[in-house]
Amino acid sequence: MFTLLSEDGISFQAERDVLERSVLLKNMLEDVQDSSNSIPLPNVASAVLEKVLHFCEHHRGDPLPVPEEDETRMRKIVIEDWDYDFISANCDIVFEIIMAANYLDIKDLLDLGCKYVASLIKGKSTEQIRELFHIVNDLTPEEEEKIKKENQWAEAV
Amino acid sequence: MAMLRKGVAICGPILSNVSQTLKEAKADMQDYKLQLERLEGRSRFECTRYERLKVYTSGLASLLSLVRRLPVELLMRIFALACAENDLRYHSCGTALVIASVCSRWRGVALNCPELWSQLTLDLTAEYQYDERYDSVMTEVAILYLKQSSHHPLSLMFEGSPWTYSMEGCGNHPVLKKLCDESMQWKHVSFSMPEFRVEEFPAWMDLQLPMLESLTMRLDKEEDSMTLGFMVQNAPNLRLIWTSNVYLVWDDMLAVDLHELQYDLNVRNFYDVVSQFSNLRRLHVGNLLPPSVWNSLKVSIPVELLNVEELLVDFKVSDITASNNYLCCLLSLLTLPKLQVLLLKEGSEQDERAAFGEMANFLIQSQCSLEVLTIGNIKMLDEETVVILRLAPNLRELTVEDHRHRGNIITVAFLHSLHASRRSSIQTSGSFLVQGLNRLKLVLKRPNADLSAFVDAVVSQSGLYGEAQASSGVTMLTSVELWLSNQEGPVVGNILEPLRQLESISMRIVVKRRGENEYLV
Repeated sequence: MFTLLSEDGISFQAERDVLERSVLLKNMLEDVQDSSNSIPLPNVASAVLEKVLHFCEHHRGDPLPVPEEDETRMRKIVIEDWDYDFISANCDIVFEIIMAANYLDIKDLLDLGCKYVASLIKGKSTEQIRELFHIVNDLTPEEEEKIKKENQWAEAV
Repeated sequence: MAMLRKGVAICGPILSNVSQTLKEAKADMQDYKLQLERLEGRSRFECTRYERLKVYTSGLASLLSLVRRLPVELLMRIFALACAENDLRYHSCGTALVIASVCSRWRGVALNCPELWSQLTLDLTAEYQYDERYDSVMTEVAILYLKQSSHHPLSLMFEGSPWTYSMEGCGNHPVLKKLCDESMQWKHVSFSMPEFRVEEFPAWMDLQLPMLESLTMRLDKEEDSMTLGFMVQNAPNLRLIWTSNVYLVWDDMLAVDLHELQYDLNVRNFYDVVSQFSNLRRLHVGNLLPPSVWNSLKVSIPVELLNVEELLVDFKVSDITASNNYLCCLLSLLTLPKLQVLLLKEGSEQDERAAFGEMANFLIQSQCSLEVLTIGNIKMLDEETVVILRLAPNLRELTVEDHRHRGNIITVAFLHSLHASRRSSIQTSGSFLVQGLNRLKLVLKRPNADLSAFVDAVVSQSGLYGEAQASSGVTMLTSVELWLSNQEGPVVGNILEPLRQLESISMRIVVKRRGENEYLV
């Protein structure tokens, strides 16, 4: 068992095969044979680390995703049942999970988070997206004018 | 008010009093008016301050917004997924254009990422339905996308009706004309239409498609598709063809190094088409809707495809008039010595003949080393399934989805046959049925599952039997899923408790009723 130390000082224990879902931790564990020292993760809060470890535990033993995506197919958003339940239950911290997955280099979790956010964006209007993600419209009048021209065809109907 | 109702004229001191009162009342009114104006001015002022504060706070909140903290490369990754099919149909302007209108940062990312603009879903209306306003709008938006895509490889999905009744051909459709000019950039193309006739699509035949990797065609009824054949001639890098209800007509000598093919079994030339691609890695087989005659499939020598590693079969209906069924027929047609993944799924409600014999013969004939097997809604018995598993000694993953009505595979006897310490009537040898199995997924269709048998079967392969198991060379199960019927009653007592304990020794356990959010384990 290895111990991880979150940004806010909380310890988590996990086995090697769980931690090795993360390329970053896998590389670190290759150098650290002694499991008595905890591994600090200064960029991951405990609430997020807990979820990340839950995901890794569920997927332990799964084949690691290949780095290159299958380019012979059209891209589609497909999410497995358990993964969807997991990410939608944690939608309030989905961006933290994405950033943690990016930092820890956990490709399948990063993919899952990105797919979930992409599915939230799809089919929504500009205003709905701003509201959903608390984004302020900071476009300049010139940019607004250009957007208006770009969208005039759709709006004309 | 009483004086008004009397209707008599007033005079003398009363008149003077009224005049005075009126004067004072008017003065009061003026005061009130001024006061109201002052209050309104104050209110407007406060409202303006409120709105400014609101903008200011939302700006501050936006600074804290987590989406702002995402690095550009992650934003691009998310946007690329969201724009996987910019739908320009039904007056929509597509996701990329929406993203580019949200804020300056998103706009900057979107405009610098040609990929976002390169995936389009378009509506090809029939000429008689052509609406100048609608179609010209879609064309203009598509042109904007093409401009932004900056010659990035294109993914195009064509839906709706083609210009079926035109003598001029669909090349006249303004958006198609524009897209055909860019055919050198086509990477993935998909057609989903009621029909697709070559004489109405002359423009397709001359297209140069050097980058085309995948071609999908889904039609509502079986069609001869010479068009596809012509297109493929000019696509030297094509690796994937996915068809549904399409009868491919093309030159037998066509030199395409296809790696993946989806074709319907009961199309007249299934055998010829499949045997043409010697380098196939993955073969998907479906069936025409509605079912049609398929006698031509009865051949004496099975086709041997030396490189196929995955066979994925998904029959939506079965031919109820036939003495055989599609699955039996397909399995007797093929020999796949390199097969590793076999997925068999039937959607039929019919009580057709089981494919057990053909499945066993297929595995014996192919002499393949199967690693992944899915049996979905196939009418088979538990003991027959055990025989199939014996023919797949290197199996790592097994998924069994019981037949919708029959539910004859996932029985207690079958579960016991997976068991180490107890022997069932259908698995009498001393060894494990599948020694290397490490993933097991069972999907039950009917209620009243015997959960204790399931728990026993799982626990026996969990490693809890330690040394004996280790010495026998049996792989430990690492992932077990049991999907119960949504009509399954409540789980009584601690029957699932041993499974919870297994989670602590590195096993992934999922027990869940289908269609419900709650996980029992």
